[in-house]
Amino acid sequence: MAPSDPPPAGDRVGGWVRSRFALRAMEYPVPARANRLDFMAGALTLVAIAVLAVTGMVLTQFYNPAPLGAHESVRYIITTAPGATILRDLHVWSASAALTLVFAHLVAVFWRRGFRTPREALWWSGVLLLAILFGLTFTGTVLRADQEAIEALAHATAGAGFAGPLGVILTPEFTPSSPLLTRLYGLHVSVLPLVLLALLALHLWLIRHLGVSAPAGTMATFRSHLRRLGGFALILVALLATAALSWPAELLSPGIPGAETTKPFWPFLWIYAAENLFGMPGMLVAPGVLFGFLALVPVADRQDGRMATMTRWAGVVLFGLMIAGIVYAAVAPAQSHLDMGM
Amino acid sequence: MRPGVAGLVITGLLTTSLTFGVSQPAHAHEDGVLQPATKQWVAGGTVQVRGKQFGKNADLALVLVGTRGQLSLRLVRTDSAGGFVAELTIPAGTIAGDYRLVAIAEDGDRVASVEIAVMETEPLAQPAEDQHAGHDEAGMAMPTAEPLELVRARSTVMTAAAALLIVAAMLGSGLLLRRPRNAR
Repeated sequence: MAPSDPPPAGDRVGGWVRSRFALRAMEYPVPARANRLDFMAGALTLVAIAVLAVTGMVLTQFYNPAPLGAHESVRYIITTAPGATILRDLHVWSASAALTLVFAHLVAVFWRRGFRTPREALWWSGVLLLAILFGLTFTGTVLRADQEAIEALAHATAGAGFAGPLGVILTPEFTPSSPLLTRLYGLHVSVLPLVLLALLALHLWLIRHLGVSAPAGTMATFRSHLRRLGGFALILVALLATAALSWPAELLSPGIPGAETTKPFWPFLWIYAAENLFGMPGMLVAPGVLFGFLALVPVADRQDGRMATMTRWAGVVLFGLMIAGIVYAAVAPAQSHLDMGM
Repeated sequence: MRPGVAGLVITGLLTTSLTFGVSQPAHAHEDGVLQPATKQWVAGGTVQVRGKQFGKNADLALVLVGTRGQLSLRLVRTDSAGGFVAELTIPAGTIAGDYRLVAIAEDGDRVASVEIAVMETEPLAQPAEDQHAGHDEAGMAMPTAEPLELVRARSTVMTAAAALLIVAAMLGSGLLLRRPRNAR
């Protein structure tokens, strides 16, 4: 091509898009090590959350949050609306994926001590994001209004009793004008996603300006990082879609209050295990210990030394106990915790 | 404020807010359980309600609470096991809508509640899949952890679209994860 020839049309279009959408801003350097899969669990969690948001928006068009219409509307989604039922299956599988990935991210950042100065706020925003994800998972479980949902709600109401004034909003007495299920639906589709978005914005802002906790060494561009992330994200979507088609999400019979015959959704099984061992207080103590520990990590492990070693091994024991609790609760027979009978 | 102190303050606040509930005493509301034979009540009709886990030989007022106020239905007395079975008559003029049936103890405490709906006509028959839930000798539905055996809605177009999405995603990931030529 002669020097005076105009550039190919594809290059011209690419240049126009890069210029008008300021895509050159993505050329900033990142450590090449951040292109490894173990550094991408956080971003892949975001991908799973995006799938949850899109599928959730469609499901809101089919779901009825009135206590007596909720179960029937889920049944309708499963039996009558083929597109919606696939999206519901994808929604449920994405919730599992988001929680698995966020824990993988948490463990990876904990192990490489990505919470040390100046990244304490980055860690704390991540801890709060984890709490919000648990909140979204819990409220999502309850929306099915089946037996598992009713029992989860009964546990939450009992837990709210322990929480005093903080728990009032989770009790039916809070207001007679709107049923508890409807209020939890509001939390699930509005309040919690908004808080999640705000915390995500803070988290991403801090990552952009403090950088990932990888040793500098060889550098790459953020654009190359996004390219690899896109590749892994597409694999994740393909896996989720395959799981949704192969193992559809179940629905139990409409919930009957006053009985305990089910176990919770798997991400809550470690709390269920704590209830098996310590009774109802276990439901609050187990998450309290986990989140209390996570909040203290950046303070306890500030620099190498005995305290840092102890913090690391405490974390290993805690995460190990969580996994052991999930496995134990999955195989143990269902137990009654609210003294309501089986 | 030194950075260490600021970190401690923030951590303290965070930990306190996350674990606040653990140190709070429990309050003793909502002790009992109300189990209506159905949650879809018809104005002018009767419904059987079973109660359990209340105080022994205690008087309870069963009240229907809605946004327009509350309506006393009847008084019941629990047996020596803390249970009762009662037939409730819903007044014919009750306005259709969502309500809560609340059990109120003698001291005024609300000791149990359950959400119900009042309708002007009989509800449609329960779908056949619900028979899976089983019933006890009194005809009350029994809880179960078994999933419903529902016939899932399937559409060839939707399944094909999902399969295409999977194939396209895998091809796309191959393209994106392929090592650039100049990096070999």
